[in-house]
Amino acid sequence: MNFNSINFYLFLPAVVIIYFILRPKYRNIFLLAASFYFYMCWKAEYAVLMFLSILTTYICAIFMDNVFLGKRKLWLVLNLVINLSILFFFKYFNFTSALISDITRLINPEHSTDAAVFNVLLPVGISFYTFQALGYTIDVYRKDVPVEKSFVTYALFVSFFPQLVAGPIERSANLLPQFKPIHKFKVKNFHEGFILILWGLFKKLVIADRLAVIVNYTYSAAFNDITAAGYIIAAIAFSYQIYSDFSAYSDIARGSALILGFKLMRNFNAPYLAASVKEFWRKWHISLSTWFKDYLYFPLGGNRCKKPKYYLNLIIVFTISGLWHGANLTFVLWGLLNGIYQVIGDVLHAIRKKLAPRFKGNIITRTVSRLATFILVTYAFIFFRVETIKDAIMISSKIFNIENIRTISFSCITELGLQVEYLWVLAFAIVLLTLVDIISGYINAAKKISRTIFFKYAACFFLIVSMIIFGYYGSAYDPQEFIYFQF
Amino acid sequence: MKRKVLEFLSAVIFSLAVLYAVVQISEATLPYRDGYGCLWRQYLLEEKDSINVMFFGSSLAYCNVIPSVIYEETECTAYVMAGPQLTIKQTYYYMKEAFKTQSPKLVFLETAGMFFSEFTDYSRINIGYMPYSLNRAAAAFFAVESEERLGALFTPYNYHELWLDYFDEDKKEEAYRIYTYDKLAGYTFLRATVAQDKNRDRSLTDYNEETYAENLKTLKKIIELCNKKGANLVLYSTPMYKPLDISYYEMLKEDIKPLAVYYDFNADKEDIGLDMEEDFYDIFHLNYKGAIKFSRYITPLIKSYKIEKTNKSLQLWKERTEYLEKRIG
Repeated sequence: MNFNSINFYLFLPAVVIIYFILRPKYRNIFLLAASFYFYMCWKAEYAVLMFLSILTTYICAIFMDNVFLGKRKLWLVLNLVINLSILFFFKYFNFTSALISDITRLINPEHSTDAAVFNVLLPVGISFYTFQALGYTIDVYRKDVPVEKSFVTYALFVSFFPQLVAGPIERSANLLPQFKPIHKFKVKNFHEGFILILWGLFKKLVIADRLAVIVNYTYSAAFNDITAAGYIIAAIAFSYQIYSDFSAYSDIARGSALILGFKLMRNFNAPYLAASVKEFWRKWHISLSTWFKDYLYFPLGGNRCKKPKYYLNLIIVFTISGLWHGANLTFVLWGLLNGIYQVIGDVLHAIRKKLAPRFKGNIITRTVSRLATFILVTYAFIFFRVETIKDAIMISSKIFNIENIRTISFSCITELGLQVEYLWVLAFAIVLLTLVDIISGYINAAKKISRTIFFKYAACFFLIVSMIIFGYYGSAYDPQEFIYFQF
Repeated sequence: MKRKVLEFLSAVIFSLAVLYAVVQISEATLPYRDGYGCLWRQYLLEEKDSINVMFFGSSLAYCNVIPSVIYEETECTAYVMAGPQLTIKQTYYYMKEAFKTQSPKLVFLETAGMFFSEFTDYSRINIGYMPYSLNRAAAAFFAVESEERLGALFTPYNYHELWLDYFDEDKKEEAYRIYTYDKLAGYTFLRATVAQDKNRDRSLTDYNEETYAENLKTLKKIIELCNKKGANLVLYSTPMYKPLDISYYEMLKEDIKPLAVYYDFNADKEDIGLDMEEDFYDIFHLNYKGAIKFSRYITPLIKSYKIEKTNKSLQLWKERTEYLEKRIG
C-alpha cells in the first residue's frame, strides 16, 4: 500500500476515525493491527519476519533489564546477531556470495565456483525497522531509556505504519513515550498533517516522478546516445528526484502520524542549502545519519581521537552507511566517496579557517560553498543511481572531459524524454521547493501555514490543483515506487 | 467561536472550490468529441424537454438512425444518445442521465448489447464523457470494470496530460474548440460501403449466460424507468449485413415478450429496401444511405404512438435537416 495510492487514502481516514472513536485502552492494539495490515498489503509472509524481529528485541531488552543469567551484554550481542543475521540473509547474502565468488575467480580462475544464490525478495522496510529495533535495545543497554514492558506498545513502536517502510528511523526516547498518553483529536494537528501530506504528494507526483522520466531515460539509454551535458542534467535531476521522493515519503509519514497525534522526527532540513558536505549530512536523512552517529561513530571514538583514527572512523561509518542502502558495490562507493569528502573537508578546514575572517558571512562565499557542496553531492549520487561501477566510471570520464562540456545547450535538456512544458513546470516546482526549504530554516512552515485560514486553504488548493494537472499518475503510467522502498 | 465558524465556512468554500476545479479541469482536458457516440456535451445544450423520441444503445444505434430524417418524416424531434459497445448496464445509466434534461415520450433501445460481454473496451469513453453526477458515480461502481473505475469516477486520471495540447501547434485548435449543438443530433455519418469490411472475421458478441441473465434484470429496470418517466419503450434489433445467429433473436424475443414491445428488423431488410452491397458500412453497421432508409422505415411506427410534437428549437431542426442534405451532397 503505497503512500501515493488510492488505497492508502481510504485506509488512513478509516484508521483515524476508528482510532479516535475507540476507547483509549484499545487504541494501541488497534494501531498495531492496522500497522500489520498495512505491512501485509505488500507481502503477508514478511509480517512474520517483522514479528520475529519485534519478539527477539523485546525479549532481549527485558532480559537485559533484568540482568538475566547475570549478563546484560550477552542479550545485547545476541539481539544484534539475530537481527543483523536476518538482515544479512535477506539483503546481503547474494551480494556477499557473488563478491566472494568474484574474488576467488580473480585469485584462482581455475578453481572458482558459481555464487550460491537465494531467490528471496527483500522484505520491504527491513533495513528501517531492524535499525529502529536495534537502536531501542542499545538504548536500553546504555540505560538511556527504560525497558518497555508492554509488548503491544513495543511492537507498535517498531511497526507504526506511517514510518514503518521508509522511516524516519525513530528513536525510542522520542516515539515510545508517545504511545502512553491518550491522544485527543486536534483540529490543528489535522490541518498541519493534511498540509504535510499534500506537500509530500506534490513533491512525489509533480517533481520526483516527473524527474524520474529524465533520469530513467538517460540511464537506460545506450552510453553513446547520451552527451556529457545529458549525463550532467540527469545527475542534477536525480539529486532532486531522490530528495523530493524521499522527503515526500517522510512528509507524508509525519503528516499521517500527526493527524493521529504523534510527532515523528524531521528527516530532512533543506539539505541542498548546506554549505559543506559535513553540513549536508546533518540535514540529509537525519534519522539514519544520527543513528550511525550515536550507535557506530561515537562507539568507534568519533572525533575524540587522533586525526588518522578520526578519518578512519568517518570512512568506516560512511562506507557502512552506503552498504545499508543497498547490496551493491556502487552504494559502498557512494558512501565511501561521501566519507572521503568529509576527510578532505576536514583537512581543508584549517585553510578555510585562515581565510574565514576575510569572507565570513559573505553571501557570495556562502553561495559558492552551497554550489560546490551541491556539485560534490550530485556527483556522488551518480554512484548511487548506476547499476555498476563500470557505468559510473564511463559517465565520469564523459562528464569530466572538457571537450564534451562545450556541447551543453538548452536542447540537451529537451532531448531527455520530457516535454518542454513539463521542464518549465519542474523549474517552477523546484524553485518553490527551494523557497520552502529556505523558509523552513526559520519557521515550521507547515505549522505556520496551518494556523492562517487564508494561506492554509490557498496552499492546499494550489497543491491539489497542481497535482491534478501536472502530477505523474493515471492509466498511462506505471506508479513509481518510492526510491527508499528498495532499501 | 467566531474562528470556528470562520474555519467551518472556509472548509466548505475550499471543498466546493476543489470540486469546481476538478470539474473544470476535467472539461478542459477531455478530448474533443463530435462523433461515434457519448456526445453528452452537445446533448446537454439541447433546449430542455425539446426531444420527443430518443434512441439508446451501442454504435448500432448512433450509426443506423438519423434524427433529421425522422424529423422530416414525422415532425418529431429525435436524438441518439448511445456509445461504442455500450453495455445494457451502462445504457441504464445513460437513460437516467438523459431523462434529467429531456422528457421523450418514445424511447428506442437497440438490443445487441444484451449479448455483449459484461465489460467491453469502451468503458473509459462511455462513462468518462458523462457529466459528473451521482448517476455517473453509480455507473462507475456498477457498470464499469474495476481497473477503469478510478478513471470513470475522476476523468483527469485518464486525460489530465492533455493540458499539453493547449501548447501544441498541431493540437491546440482542437483543444480550444467549444461545443455547439450537434448538427446530426447524435448520429454518426458514415460514407463507406461494406466492400471494405465484408471479409473480416469479426464477432459482435461474446455471449455469456450469466451476463445475459444480468442484462435481463437491467432491462427490467430500464422498463420501470421508462414507465416512471411516462415514455413508451420499443426494443429492437437493427438490420445487419451479418446478423447474429437466429437463435439469439429467438431467445431474446421469448424473454422480452412479456416485458415490452420488440422488433427484429433483420427480417425486414427487403421491406426496408436495403441494398446489401451499397447500404452497409461494414458487416454490422449501416452507412448513411442505409440509415436513411431504415430511419424512414420506422417512421410509421413512431407515428403510431401519436406522441405530442414539440414546438421548441424549430430553427435548429430546420438547420439540421439542411445540414444533412449538404452532407449527403
